[in-house]
Amino acid sequence: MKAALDSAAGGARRIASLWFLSLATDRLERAQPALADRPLATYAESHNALLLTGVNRAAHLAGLTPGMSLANARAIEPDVVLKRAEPEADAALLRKLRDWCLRYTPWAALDGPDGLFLDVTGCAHLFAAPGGSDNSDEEALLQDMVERLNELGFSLRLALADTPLAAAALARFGPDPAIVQTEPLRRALAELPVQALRIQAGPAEDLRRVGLRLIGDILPLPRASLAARFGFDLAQRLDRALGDLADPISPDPFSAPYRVRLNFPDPIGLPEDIARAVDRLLARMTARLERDGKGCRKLELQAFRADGDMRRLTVGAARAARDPKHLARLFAERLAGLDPGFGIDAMVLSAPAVEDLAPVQEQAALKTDAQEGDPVGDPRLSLLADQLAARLGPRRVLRFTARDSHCPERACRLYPVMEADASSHAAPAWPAWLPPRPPLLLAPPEPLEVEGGSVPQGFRWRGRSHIIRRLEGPERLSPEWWLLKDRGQDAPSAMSARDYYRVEDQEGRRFWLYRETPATARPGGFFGGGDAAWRLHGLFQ
Amino acid sequence: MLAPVSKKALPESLLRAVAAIEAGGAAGTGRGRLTTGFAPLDAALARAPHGQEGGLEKGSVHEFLGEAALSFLLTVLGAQSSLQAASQPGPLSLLWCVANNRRDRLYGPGLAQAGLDPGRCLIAACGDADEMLWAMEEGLRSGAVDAVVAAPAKPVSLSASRRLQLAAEEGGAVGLVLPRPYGAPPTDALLAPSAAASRWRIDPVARDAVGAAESWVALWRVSLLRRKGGLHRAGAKASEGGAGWLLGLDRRGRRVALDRETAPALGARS
Repeated sequence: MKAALDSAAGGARRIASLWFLSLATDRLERAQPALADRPLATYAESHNALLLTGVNRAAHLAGLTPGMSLANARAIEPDVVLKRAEPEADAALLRKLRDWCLRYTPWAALDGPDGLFLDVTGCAHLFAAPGGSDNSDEEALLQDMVERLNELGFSLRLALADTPLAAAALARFGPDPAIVQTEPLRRALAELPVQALRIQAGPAEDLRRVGLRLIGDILPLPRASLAARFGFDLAQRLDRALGDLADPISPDPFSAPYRVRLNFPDPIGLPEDIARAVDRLLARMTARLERDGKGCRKLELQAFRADGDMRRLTVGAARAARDPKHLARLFAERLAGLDPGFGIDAMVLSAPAVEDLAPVQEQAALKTDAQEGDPVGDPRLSLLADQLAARLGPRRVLRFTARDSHCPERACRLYPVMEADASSHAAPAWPAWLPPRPPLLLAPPEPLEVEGGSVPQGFRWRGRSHIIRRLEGPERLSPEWWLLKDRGQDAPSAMSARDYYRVEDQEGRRFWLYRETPATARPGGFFGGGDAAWRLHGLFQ
Repeated sequence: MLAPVSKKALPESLLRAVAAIEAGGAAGTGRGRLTTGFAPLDAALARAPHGQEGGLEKGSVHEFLGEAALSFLLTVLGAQSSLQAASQPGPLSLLWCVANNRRDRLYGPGLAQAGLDPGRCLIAACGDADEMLWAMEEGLRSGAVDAVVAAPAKPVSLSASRRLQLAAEEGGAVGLVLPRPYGAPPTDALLAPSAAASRWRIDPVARDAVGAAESWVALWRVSLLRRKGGLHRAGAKASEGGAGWLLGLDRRGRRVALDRETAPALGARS
């Protein structure tokens, strides 16, 4: 039997199973190291009861186990720190751990809420101490995993076997040293309880009742009668664990980063050469993007210089783009600032931010009026915005959005075109019913010296005096008290009640003034008097 | 030997081609014009004697000086934008090149009330004069916008204006330059050489100078200071300090040209 297994092992896969004993509490301890030494448990509501879902080592030593009710846990260990379970955060952490494990093998997959499968076939020798045997290669690999993951604050058990199910069973139910080397698979599995095969509660109970507790008890039994008595599932799992039945693991498709590299036999330095190299990189990059139906929002060019220095250029696009001509124009603005030094050995172009971009004929796209997900609404405007942002900077190319507010400075916001998320929520329409608003707004409003009482006769602004010939108003705008409540009086948006006037001076210049009403300018009271503050807020000219 | 041909003898189509070439545009393409919405202004800007639709030529740069330049321009652009909104290209798309450090910022609701679509306005906040010229040139050349409006702190130099004019011819957009120094435009700015297609001076007019002040939204005194390849009727007077046109926007949105008789108080101001 052993010989047969050994010969099978020659072409067999080697699967590592990682089982994180206390993922939830490890996550909390990593976030707050102070929790590490104290008994810590997570809980969740299940069937109208609060039950523990995860415990850390200290809590485990105190006698707490998952599944225990919260009341019992408090009775056993009054000092226990209890946190509500966050399965989504745990799942996200597990996915990160899976990605981290890509350092060992490209074939990494999730196994339930707290485990990972790694197909390490042929990978072990890469991590071995030189000169070791095959066996010690795998030991070294597992040792490396345990050490690194322990260092990161995770407690885990792992096992290596020919099939995923066997590895998972060994990791969870195997002997106490968490690293289990299993060449003779049957003998190792024989000592494990039948639950290690992940069978359902029903068949497990049936097996227990007839006295079949260990896998070793059912291994010699004929498969046919086993399937007849305890279900087909049990027989199948046994076959999967032993490798008689294929049990593929399916890793998530690994998305290779969008990254292209160009090496030069001799360092280049002439601007034309650099531009041509960028064109070639862009051609390769955009071909890949087009094949995948993607467009990039951001491109990074790294130039590795002969003197060992590295220069980096980044360009951004207001909407996902993959037209090489357009992207080349964005770079053209920046390449002048790229100092080649004694020459550039290699260039790497990468697209850190990509988005889905439907395959369109670029010419046709330019004619359509508005496109889905286009922050500017007009593709040609987006292209222009990109070009401008390449030189002026991404925060200097702006556009308007209307906001639902009657406070003048809040009613309109200028935001950078590059911040696409700001446009993702539909902006309200520009209000049509407003009294006249100026095309220029002063930010912040400028204080004025006003002559005359409640009806002003003239004012001085920037050293020039203006005689008021016509005055239209007031238009009273009240503070947005719901904002005041949230942000406090000192917030910049906090506004006192204002009376706005449209004012024309002796020359016909038109201004937008307001007076802060005394009631709020002075908290003393409505009739508290005091001088009202006049400010100039807008220019109509 | 060729006898000199009188222009009258040429067929109409040939005359148009000649006019287009004379205007310096791409041969024969006959670019459109941005109608101002003011009848006498459009008539003066129409290429006599053919009487095509008048207005500011597209594919060229125009300079607007004076304190009321912005409000007047907004009225012109708003008229064109509402005109286009119903038809295929939609409302005007604009690039505004403004100085980054100015305290008066463009205000969306005000632009919307003038008839523009703020959603189709792009604003380039430029750090200095060079950046502004570059952004303007880029916008004009791209053909992505119908008009580029720039408010530089100082008038554009002759060579810079030449670059802008070339970019505008290439892209077909209208370039509108509003040097906005505080107060009235200095004389040297009025007379500075420029490659722009036209130069205007727009001053505000107090509504009290005209009867029925309540019915006006705004009044402007508009003078055409210079115009490339055009008639200098109005310009000659303006450069001597005379009035060009007195134009107004009334409460019902009509664009009206007033004459001396309706506004006798006008001539007094220099």
